[in-house]
Amino acid sequence: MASTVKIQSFRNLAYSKQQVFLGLAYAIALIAGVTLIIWLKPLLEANDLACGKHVIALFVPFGSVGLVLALLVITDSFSKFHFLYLVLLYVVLMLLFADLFFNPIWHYYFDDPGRYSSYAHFILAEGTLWGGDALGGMGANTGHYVDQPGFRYFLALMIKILGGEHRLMQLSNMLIYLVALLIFLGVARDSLSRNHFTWIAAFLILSLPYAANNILDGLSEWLAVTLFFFFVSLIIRERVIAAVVLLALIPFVRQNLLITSVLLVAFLAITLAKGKGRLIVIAVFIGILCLPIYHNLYYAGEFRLLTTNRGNHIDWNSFSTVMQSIFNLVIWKSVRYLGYHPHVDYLRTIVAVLFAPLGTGLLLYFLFRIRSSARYWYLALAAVTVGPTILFGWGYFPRFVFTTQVIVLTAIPLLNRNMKVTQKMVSQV
Amino acid sequence: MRLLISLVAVCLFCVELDALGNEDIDVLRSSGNCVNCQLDGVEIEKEEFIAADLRGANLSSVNFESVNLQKANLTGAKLNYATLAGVNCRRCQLKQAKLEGANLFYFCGEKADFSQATLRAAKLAGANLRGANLSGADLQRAIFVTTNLQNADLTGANLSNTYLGPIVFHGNLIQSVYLGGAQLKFANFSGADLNGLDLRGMDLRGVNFRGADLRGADLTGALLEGADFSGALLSAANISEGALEKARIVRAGNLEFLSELWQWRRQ
Repeated sequence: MASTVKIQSFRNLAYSKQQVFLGLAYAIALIAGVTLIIWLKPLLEANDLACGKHVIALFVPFGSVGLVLALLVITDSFSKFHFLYLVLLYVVLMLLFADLFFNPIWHYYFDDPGRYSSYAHFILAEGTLWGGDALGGMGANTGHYVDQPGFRYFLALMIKILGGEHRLMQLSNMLIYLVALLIFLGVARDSLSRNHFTWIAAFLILSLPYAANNILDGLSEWLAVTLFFFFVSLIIRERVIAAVVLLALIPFVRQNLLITSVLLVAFLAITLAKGKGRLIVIAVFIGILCLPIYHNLYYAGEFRLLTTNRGNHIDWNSFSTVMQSIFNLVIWKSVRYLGYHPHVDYLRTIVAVLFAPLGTGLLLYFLFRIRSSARYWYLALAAVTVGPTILFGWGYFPRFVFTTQVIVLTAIPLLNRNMKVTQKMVSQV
Repeated sequence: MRLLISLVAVCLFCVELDALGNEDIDVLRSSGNCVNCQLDGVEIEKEEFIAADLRGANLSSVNFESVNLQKANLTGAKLNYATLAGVNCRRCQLKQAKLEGANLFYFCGEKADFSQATLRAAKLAGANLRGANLSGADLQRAIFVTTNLQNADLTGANLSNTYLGPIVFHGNLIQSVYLGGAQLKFANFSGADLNGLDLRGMDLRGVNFRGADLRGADLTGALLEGADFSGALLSAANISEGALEKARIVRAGNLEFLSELWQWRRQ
């Protein structure tokens, strides 16, 4: 109630006063950002490891943008003009790193980012589309995909465009994520009630530090989330084919989201008007979904869709051991969804606690808030998105908590839409 | 009895040596420098010794997997049989360092100075040596698989009996390199300056010479099946028409070699 009164009083301010207030917020965010970057940048100069405590300066642009964005959401002032201003704010802060743009970065070679990096450089050096998993240790003597397939191609593209794997590439990836998030918020604002929009936006703003962490680490989850932001934005803007293309690419980047994307395409297909539109959507989806099959057939002679490097926590000995493993896993991993992991440092815990408990709370909250016709879809979506990561996901906490929570919560504007509108837009395909 | 005393003495000596080693690693951790220190056999992982001064240090048989040594000074250091897999040694000084039999799997030695260093039988699979100075380095019997030597300086390096395939050699000036007995199958010399290079009788099957400068190079008796000479400068190169006919314009796939990559690490 108190926040409603404050927003109302903000809205009652004269337009010019609102502008002055928001302008001041931008100015403070800019000055604070510049000061922090100048103060923290020497740490970054000394060490070329892709991510660690020394890269704290690279979190500042997201922090500054996040603060202004939070204010815009609270005061219900977010608009396309602010989209441009926020991007401009990010770019201005990003330019403070100009002298370090081309400093190359380095990953631990055996970890996921190191392997993606090796594959990407190999793809570029050899001019091949072969994923090169044989380079990665886990894929010795194999021609098929062992690690997540898609991210290496994106990375190779970025290296090709920007001329290397360096700080500029990390900052550019953060810009891509930010643009996708802001576009999503712009679109979702019209599709959700103000209250629901505020909560989802608050969650996304609070998850920005981890999103930055994921990008700086060189992991692939942020790209899947970015594609999902664009997918939801495009669907709501009635660009169905383009949206389905992105939806089909998500499992190419993160195969643990395969069932999620299949479920969502089923949702679209079921809510479609009859006719060739439905067939086109399904054909496009399947055609792109099978990218790993084409690759594995061509380079390894194997008909294989799924990668082979999957964490496995299940004891497959017998039915009872399987059930026991699943029970233990659910108990063990539940606390991850509150932001706790016993083996990570306090900084990572802070980053996780910022968003994970709120995300979990919102997941449960929306279960009882979504209209009855969409509730079952929502429940199924949450189950198939969270489920595989509970059973198979490991490492780099809280990447899976982040991915699953963001995807389920950002799907709400899509699930919650009036079915008639959905039918109308898809019948135009 | 004497035997027992001798054994005890040897054990005590070993313990003493071990203790010395541990002390030196503590010195390195606390000060970031350890000139001429004894760190042989030390095993650490993912630690940071940025710009450390390790000149003349004995690091033989250490296991420094994924350690960050960027800009470290290892001039004259002994790193024989060291495991330096995944180590970041960007811009390191490794002049006259001894790296015989070292495991440099996915080693990042970008712009590092290896001049006059000994890298005999070193395993460089997946290593990034872009822009490195390898002039005068002894690389006999070294293993290069998917090693990136883009713009590296190999002037006067000895690469005899090396395994060089597949490898990225873009833009190299490797005119005076001694390649006697080297296996170059499927190496990638695209755009490299190989002017006047002696490649007589070598196995160059599947090698990518696309856009390379081979003027004055001697390819007499070389095996050239599947080699790609598209865009290469071949004026005055000693190469027979028959051999060139055998070389295909489209390069054959080189993927078969990558399955061998991991084996080099295990050796």
